[in-house]
Amino acid sequence: MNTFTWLLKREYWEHRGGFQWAPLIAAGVVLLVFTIATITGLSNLNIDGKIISGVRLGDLAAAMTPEQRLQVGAGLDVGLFFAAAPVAITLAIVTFFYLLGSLYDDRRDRSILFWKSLPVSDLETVLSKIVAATAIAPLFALAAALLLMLGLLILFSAIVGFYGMNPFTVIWANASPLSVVGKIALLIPINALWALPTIGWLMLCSAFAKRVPFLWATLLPIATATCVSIFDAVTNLRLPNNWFWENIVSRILFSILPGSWMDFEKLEHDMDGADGPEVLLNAINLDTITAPLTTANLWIGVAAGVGMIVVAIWLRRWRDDS
Amino acid sequence: MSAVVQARNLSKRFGSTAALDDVSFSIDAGRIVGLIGPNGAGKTTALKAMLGLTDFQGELSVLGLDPRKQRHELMQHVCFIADVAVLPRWLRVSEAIDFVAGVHPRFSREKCEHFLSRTKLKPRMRVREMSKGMIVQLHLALVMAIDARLLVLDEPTLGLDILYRKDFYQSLLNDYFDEQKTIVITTHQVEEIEHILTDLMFIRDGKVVLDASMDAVADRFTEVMVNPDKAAAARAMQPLGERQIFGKSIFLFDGTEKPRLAELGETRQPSIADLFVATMKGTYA
Repeated sequence: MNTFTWLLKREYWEHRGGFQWAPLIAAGVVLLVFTIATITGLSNLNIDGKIISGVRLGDLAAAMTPEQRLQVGAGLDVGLFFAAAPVAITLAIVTFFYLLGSLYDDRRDRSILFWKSLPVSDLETVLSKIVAATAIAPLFALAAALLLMLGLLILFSAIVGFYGMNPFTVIWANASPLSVVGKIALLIPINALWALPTIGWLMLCSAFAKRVPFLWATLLPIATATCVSIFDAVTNLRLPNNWFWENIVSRILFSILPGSWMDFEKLEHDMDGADGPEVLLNAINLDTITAPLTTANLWIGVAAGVGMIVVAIWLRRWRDDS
Repeated sequence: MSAVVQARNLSKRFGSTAALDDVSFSIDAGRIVGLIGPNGAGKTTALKAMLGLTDFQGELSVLGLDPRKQRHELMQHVCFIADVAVLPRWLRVSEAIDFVAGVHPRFSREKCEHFLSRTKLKPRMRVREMSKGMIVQLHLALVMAIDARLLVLDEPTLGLDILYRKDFYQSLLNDYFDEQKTIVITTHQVEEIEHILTDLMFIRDGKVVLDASMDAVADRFTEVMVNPDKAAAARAMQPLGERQIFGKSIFLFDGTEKPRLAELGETRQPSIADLFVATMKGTYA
């Protein structure tokens, strides 16, 4: 194994809790909530058997047309997609704080002197932390999401079975958790590109701050934006106040959230007149994923992010406060 | 044999104070050099400059490399311990060994495991579960298993009890040091490293005030215990320092011929600590 692989391993060892356990716990909580809801739901419904209005549900399921099966499958897939949202939010929070501490924690406990006594360049160190945040953490979260989806499908199977339907023909033959996970996996590279200004800003604060990088990272942009807003309100300078919040503050603080680059207005527009859940998943296709690549917003963010990362590497090399 | 460390006109300022003031020195291979000075004299700055951890003015070459520009190459052959207890708290013993073995081409896993077999450390143990002494043992095992040409130790035994301190220098000398290696140490516990040093360097207010081998130091400096009746005569010979013990005066002389001093009283070899005190007189005044 080469040095870089060891650096990635190092990040994993240190942040096993955040990278591996946090998304698993989030997935577990979602599953638990669904399970409890199911159990209380089923026990309260109190249907005496598997017959509603004289129709056996099992027969109903068996009589589904191929189109109906397709719709059930799409419905399940959309459900799975959104059920993974808490995992994605957990990932965002974990990565945010991981980045804030990435170049600060070892300065605080002085273990930076140990790392610096080894033949590892500061460039490699910083890059390994970026890869950990943009690839390792998301892949662990993805694995947790897949487990969550499988868990949910098992839960749905139990419900379906409870009503006397065949879970294999109703659930497993129609749902496609793997393709949902595959679609989410496709988002990882674009999430990373989109997150670069946030990554750069957080790492810059992490490398720069003598104390409390969190306050530097959050208060500085928010205070600046607030000042812009106040000036805008009390003078007639027509400062670009909303623009500042949207394009600076949100990009350097919240772009770490997976999928936050998505054009939700367009997505909504596409959904108009849709008559089935499959439209949503189809809307998340290669076109939507590559759409941001043609925007200046993304590339200006990438450039700003890379610039801040370069400064962070420089600070890592020369900052001398041990 | 070319010098391992070669410094010419090294300067570094923090605001108005000079941490290093136009310092020049050189350290040869196979030496154990004690860099001794009061707090704030510039010891740590000098070491940091050698390790490429800080910027400076002047010329400095370590193993023929510029520590500012070639730090990465330099770290293949240089190892340092800056205050031992700085290992990250989450690190496990096994992880530490795996990582150093993975990134350091000159690390010997066998050696490291051999050193650790003499301690109570277990592979699954985390640094946060260890006592300060155990952290030292781990750090030392890691560093001594690296076949480095230069080892830099900045206050390596700070905060350790005397058993660990003795142990530390003992294993450093017995298991690590050989003619191919060079060690630079700074410490305030001068008396503990006195017997292992080959060279002595005193630094004061950013200047090197003494730079000599231990043999030369033994030749140059003499301590004489003088009865009160001869004290005036001794004072006339311009001693470096004077202190009183049991009604007698002890004078420290620099370069004065030993036979002449023997006439004054009983002569002996001064300890580095006494030499240090005499040399640094008035530092904090």
